Amino acid sequence: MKIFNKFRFSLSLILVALISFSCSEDFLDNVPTDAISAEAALSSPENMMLILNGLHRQVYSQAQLPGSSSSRSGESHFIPALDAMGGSIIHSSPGNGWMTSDLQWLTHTNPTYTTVYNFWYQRYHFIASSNSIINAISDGDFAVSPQLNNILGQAHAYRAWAYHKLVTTFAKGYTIGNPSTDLGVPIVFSTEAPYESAPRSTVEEVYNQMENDIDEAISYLENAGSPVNKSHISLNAAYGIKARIALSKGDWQTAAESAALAREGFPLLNESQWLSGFNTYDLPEVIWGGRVIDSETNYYQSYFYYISPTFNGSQNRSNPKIISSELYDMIPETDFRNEAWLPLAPNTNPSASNGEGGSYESDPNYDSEDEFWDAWSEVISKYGMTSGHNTHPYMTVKFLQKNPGTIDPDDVIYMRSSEMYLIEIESLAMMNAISEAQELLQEFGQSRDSAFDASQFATQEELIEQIKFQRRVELWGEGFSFHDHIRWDEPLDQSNSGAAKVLYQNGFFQERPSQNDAWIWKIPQAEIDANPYITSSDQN
Amino acid sequence: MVLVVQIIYAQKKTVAGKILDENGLPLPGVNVIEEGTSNGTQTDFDGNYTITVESGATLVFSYVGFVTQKTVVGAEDVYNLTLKTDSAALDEVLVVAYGTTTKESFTGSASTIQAEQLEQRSLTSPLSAIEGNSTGVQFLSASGQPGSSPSIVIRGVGTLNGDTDPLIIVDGVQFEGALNAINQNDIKSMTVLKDAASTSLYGSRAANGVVLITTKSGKGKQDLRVNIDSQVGVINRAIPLYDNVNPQEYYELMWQSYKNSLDVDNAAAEASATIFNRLGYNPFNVPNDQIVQENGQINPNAEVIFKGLDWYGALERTGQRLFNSADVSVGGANHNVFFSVSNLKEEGYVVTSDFERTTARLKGDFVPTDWLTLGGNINMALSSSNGPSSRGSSIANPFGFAKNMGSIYPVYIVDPETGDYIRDAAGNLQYDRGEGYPDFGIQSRPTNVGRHAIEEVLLNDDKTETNNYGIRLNAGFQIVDGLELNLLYGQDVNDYINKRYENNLVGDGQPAGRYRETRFRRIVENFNQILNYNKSLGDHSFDLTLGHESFDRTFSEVFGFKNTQTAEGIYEFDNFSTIASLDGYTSDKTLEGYFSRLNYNFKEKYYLSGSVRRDGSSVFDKDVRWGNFYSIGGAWRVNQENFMSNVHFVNNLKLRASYGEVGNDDLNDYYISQPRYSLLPNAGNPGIFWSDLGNSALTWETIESWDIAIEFDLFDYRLSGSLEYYKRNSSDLLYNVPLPISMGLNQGPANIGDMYNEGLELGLNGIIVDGNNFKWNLGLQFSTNNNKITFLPDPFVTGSKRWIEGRSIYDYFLYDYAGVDSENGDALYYAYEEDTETGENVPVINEEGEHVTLTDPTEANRTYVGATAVPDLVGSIRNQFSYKGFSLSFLFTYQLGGEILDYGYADMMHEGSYGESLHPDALNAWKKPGDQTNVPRLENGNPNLAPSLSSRWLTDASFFSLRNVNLSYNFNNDMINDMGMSSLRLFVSAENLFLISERKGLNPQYNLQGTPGGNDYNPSRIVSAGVNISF
Repeated sequence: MKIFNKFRFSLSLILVALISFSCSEDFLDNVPTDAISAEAALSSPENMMLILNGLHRQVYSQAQLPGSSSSRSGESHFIPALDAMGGSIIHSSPGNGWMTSDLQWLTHTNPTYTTVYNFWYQRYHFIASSNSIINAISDGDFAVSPQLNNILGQAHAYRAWAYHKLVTTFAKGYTIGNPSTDLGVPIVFSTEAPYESAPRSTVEEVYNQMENDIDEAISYLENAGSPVNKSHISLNAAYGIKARIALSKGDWQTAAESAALAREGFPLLNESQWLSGFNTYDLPEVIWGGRVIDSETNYYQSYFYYISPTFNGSQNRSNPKIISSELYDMIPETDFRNEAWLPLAPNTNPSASNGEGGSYESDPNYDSEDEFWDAWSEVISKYGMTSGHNTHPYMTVKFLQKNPGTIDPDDVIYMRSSEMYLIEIESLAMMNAISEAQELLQEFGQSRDSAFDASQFATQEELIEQIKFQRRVELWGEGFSFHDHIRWDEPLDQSNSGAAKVLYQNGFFQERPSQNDAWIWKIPQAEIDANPYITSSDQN
Repeated sequence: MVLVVQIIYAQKKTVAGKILDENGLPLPGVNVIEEGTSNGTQTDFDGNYTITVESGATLVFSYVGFVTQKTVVGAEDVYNLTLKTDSAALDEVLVVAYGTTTKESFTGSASTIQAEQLEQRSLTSPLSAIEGNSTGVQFLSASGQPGSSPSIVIRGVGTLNGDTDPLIIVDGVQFEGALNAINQNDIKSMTVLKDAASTSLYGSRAANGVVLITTKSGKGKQDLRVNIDSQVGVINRAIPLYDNVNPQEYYELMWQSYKNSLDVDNAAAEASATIFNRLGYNPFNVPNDQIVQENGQINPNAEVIFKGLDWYGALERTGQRLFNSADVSVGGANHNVFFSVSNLKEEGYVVTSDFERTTARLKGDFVPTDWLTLGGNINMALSSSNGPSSRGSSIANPFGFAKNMGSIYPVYIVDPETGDYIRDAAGNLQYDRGEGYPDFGIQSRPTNVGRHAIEEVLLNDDKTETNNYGIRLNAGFQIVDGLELNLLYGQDVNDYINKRYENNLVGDGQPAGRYRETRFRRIVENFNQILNYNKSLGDHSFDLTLGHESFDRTFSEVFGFKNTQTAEGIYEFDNFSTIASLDGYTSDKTLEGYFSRLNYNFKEKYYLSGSVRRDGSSVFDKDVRWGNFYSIGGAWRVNQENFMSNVHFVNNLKLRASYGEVGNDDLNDYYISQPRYSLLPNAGNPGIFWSDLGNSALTWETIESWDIAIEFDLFDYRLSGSLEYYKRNSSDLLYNVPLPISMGLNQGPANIGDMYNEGLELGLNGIIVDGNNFKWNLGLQFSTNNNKITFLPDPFVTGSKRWIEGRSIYDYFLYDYAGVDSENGDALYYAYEEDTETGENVPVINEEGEHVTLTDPTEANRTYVGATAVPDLVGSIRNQFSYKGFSLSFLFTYQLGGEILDYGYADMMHEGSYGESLHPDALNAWKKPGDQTNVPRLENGNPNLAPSLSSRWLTDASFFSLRNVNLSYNFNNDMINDMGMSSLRLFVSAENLFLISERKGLNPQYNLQGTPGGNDYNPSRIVSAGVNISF
């Protein structure tokens, strides 16, 4: 009578159900598509090269790390920030407020500020990634090859570079302190549980570690192939890092030798190259730099956003960056670098912090409205800015975009041979090798100033004064001024620079680093909170 | 067939009758069952039934909301009955995990919101209806953005991961779409399951409680019925704005700030001469160097001449809301069908913000044979919304922009001489972007230079389209008497497209314009196979459930970002030339579970219920991914005992208790146990970076909960209620533990600690007046929650809190503000130092035995300041009056105790940043030696005067709000029957009518941490009028 027997039907259905509905064994095994496993990442030289590529990107880029802020991160931020704190890049107005707190010395003195957090965290990420690579290779069974040497070389070099950034920033300067007792930064080798990090080592111990690392890096890189591009750490770049470490330590012999090796093959820029805007790492002087392409831009957190007068961002348009007028006025007329700043640019911004902006009436350099605005138009059209851009006396045009008036990305230069010349010259002078120093200074100086005559700097003192001047001009805006103050134990004094006290506040004058621990950055509170070996009493 | 049956069972007889309600109206759909058998039928549309039963059988007549009656079949052939309304709705069917039960036999803790309660409200997200209608539930307000859903917290937060969302089950399977995708008129009931006995069958997903939503169905044997609901409303801001100083006061305060920062001989004179240079704008009719006198007073002649100083005025408007819905239902002996459509249009009270949603649902249940049921529903919700998307601290956030703008700055460009608007060639107002207009003699604003978040909102375009498609399919097989197999399959597909254009004139998209598009598809599949066996043996009844469930969630997203536009007004990738980013990924989460439940009752007096579930989650490593969760519960209906038979005022008295476990695998990352390197190219060359620590030992977090309750109905059901105590112990809590950042990553996942939540819940419902015409119902609810960490190896700081054993996760850890040094106006902070033995911060005491105060908060260190974000009590008061056809209800909700760290206020009490808005409390700032005040001096650039993590900003979190008012009129049947209608109801309703809190501007329901920034899209107030028609 019935079409089918419900009992039998149902039973078979349960059986079918039980068989087909119980999930297959790998039902619960899922893998992500936006990442690879850590095991795979460290399983082959090819993959370790990928990790290094990620580091190359992170040198300049916005922070990618979990829990970090994308703002105030990477060399794109820290180069101009260190020069804002160090007084080399002078802001002509609060602009849109970006970096005002840096130049007022409110960020690095505050353990909860993003600047401090990111600087520390990112450097230690480089250390951790290098550790992973170095540990994996030492634990593993990889055939020695030029590629493997390249990987090990760069990993050791990054570790040295990161510790150097850290120890010179978060500890008392080597040359002005007591390195064997001054607290440095934690030295970490492990990337495994229990993730407790380490106590602060002494400055001396950190230097020892860096020196070992950079020497290892160099010996590996000597047996590696040539670098893929300038974003990789080459043998030359490793020597450059070694020279920087030695310089900050006052190890003049090493500094001079390493600097000489670093610049080998990277000839000094000529005038047109020097005045081309420092926007590409293809410049022959560039030893190490970051190539920034459209799809990897930092947008409004890019280096050129902060530094280039042509960048079309609100940071810039009302806040052209200026050089100390006292410094600029020392540049000889025969030195082509004087074209990198415009001492007579009209002060068009009514909100300029020096109170002289807005019209020919307030700007002492101009007597009529027409002259004033004509001068502005001339600057605008010559450098490709927009009508929204303001100009200011002593504004920089050293950094110019490839595509002025836009927000297009430009490269970030980390190391070039001029710096190496200046390290070598300074070291020679410090070793009292006066004539060798003069000779090299002449080579460098005449490449910038057709009338340059090094023989007038006949004593160590005169030489050092000249080297300081050269460093300040040549490397203006490239991130060295803050640490140079520490090395030279010089106070920060903006009295005759053109900086406005009302804008600079605490950043207008700071006592010399040997007397004033405000030069030592605060250790991030997040580190103190989570590191069992560091308490608030260990804070700088 | 009937003939055959009659021939075979000659001893049977056929009886008939008509069932009426107390008003004499026919009741369709009443179940008529021959007791002890599965033989039954339902009344038709006219209340008539016919059934063939054995002589002497007992007929049971039952209908939801009515008292069940029984009649013995005797000699007569006709049995007419009047069913009485069951005021306590004792037989109310309660939807529970993988099935239904009745209120009386339920051993767990649950609250139910019925369709009738939803009818009172004009809600976009039905979840809002739970507020004030369920004890133990804390609400976080929905954003004012049209289409937003509130967040709910059931019995405190039992996890550390920050996610408080309960599991949402719609028609039997997990629902992950937005709750605003469900038309509230489609909902038959919402059940909030609170304790482990009721939730543990959902095992690993029930850590935050469960909300079961059941959609409407057609009713058996019912003629075609049509309901139409139409509403129109207006929308405004529900929370008042923070107070703001006027322009004169602003200048005086900024003069103080400037003067105190100056390091010159005559600071006052310098400040008076050049304060204008700092602020850039002079909205008064006096010269720039004469705005503030050297004594710090505003020039008495200064009058505001600037127009357009109202930033909120430029941002806000009166929004509107239109809602129309219609549904049709019909049923027969072996089928019923429900079909609905709706459309909702909301325009928010903030410019450009809107939401439109269209829904349709078709649901059918079919009984092809007496042993097979088939059914299911298909539904879709298509929504689109526009609105300013930037929130938080972004400069593009228009709310923060308007809030933080000093009161002297105009929205539009005004002539500094006359204060009149300067219009463009077309006569339009022009937004003042604050970057200086030398042509008009206008300087830069010292804050937000080159930006205008309100103009940006208008010039940008931000559109989101979300389509939800869902199906539910079920088949039920009765294998033998009492044994059923149910198969339930559900799939929800969520398609999302966000198109976001940032303009080329002002803001982040400047100068070239940029455009991004995010698209994702989320597919959630759920398949349940459930065996159910029912058996009664004398006084013993059993109900056994066995089941298997698989869950699969796949999420796939692409994100593209291009800049440099070609033409105006085209918001598609074609119109942009440079690719900035093009990313996409797919993620997959799977879960498998086996579960069983046994319910037992003896004489409908003693109830026992137990369940076990075993879940495996793809989140965890192979070896540790399976977890077991069980529960046990019991109930005793005291009033069924003989000794209670003389206690007449007790209608119902039940004691119940339960214990059980649920789990949680959610740490906001489906691959959290796997150590990973994320992809990161360098200049186009492939690259990766170490991004996730992973932890292969990571496993289930477990929440064990206790629940004890007494439920009662007294005095002929005039007073009913329940009193409950619960305690939820969470152990092996999942958390991303902060690492020392010198490890190169900032956090690592681990099962780190234990904590508990406990609380009392009291719900009372009284029928105060029960006249023929006038009725008054009063509902009161009180809930408490306490939270304590019971085990944590190492304390750690997280935001404004620090987690340590023995304290709540909501205890504030802040700089301990000690007031103002009356000599110099410094802010003072009590100093603390770490006791290296205990790890606790202890006061620093000087030689005189006084607690040392310092002026630098970071040197003084943070400490527990004796405040918590957890309120002492949350509750509600619900009144319902009815008089003849009128009915009026209002719902108050409140919260007592707890504190809020009012960042919105702190932002306006800064140390004197040029250009930023100030709260009138800043007028009390210290000015000269000897001033006794609690507000430090203003001094531009001094970071020690007003740090945000200071106990100074703690504010009482108590509030009292009128959440909902509804006034309606039901026309009586005679009048409308002639018009062909079966019911007609007119109503007006209002949501969020008022809020009283400690400070104007504060949204005390912003988040659980008690840290509102004051710069979000505040909740909206909606006043609607509407009509419901049925025929």
